[in-house]
Amino acid sequence: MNSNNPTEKARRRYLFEFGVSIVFYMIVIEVSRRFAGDFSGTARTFLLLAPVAPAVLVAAVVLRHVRAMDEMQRRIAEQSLAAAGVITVIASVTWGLLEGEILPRPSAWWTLVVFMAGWLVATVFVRRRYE
Amino acid sequence: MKNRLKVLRAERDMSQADLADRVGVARQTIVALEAGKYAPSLPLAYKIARQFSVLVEQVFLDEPSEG
Repeated sequence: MNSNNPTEKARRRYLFEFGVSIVFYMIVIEVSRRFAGDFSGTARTFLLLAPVAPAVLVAAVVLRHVRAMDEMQRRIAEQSLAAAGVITVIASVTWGLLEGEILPRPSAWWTLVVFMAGWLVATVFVRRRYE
Repeated sequence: MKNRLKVLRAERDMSQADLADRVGVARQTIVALEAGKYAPSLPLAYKIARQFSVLVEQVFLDEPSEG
């Protein structure tokens, strides 16, 4: 279906840009992991941090898509993102209070996992309010 | 907020997808508007009214929607 609806066009563009930026991220992270061990000092730090650049690109693609949504879809996205932020903060504080006492010290990557999972769950619940 | 979107569409034999395309929103947004689950911004309300060539208060009524 080749719709002229601007929100549908924006969605197709988003899927393309998101796909490209994720592939770019995966390539950079693979290069970073493979070659960081061969360097030391500033060069090693630079290589280890190289995936941040495509990660920023992914974030920019997502934000561009949020701006291109219609007003109701944007409201759903913003409310879901805000809820994901709140979930992540509460989970971090709760875990932090027990960390080292009865809970282990997790990798910082878990913050991302909690945020993304929170965003997904929040989107499902927020969307239901408008159905 | 109550509205007469469904009636106005039916009178003009216009689908939800047609209206969505004309005012530049997703079809789900039209569904939510018709169900009274979402109150549009003033610019969107005026845009919708223009599509039907009526005044905005002839589309959207200042009454709470049921449910």
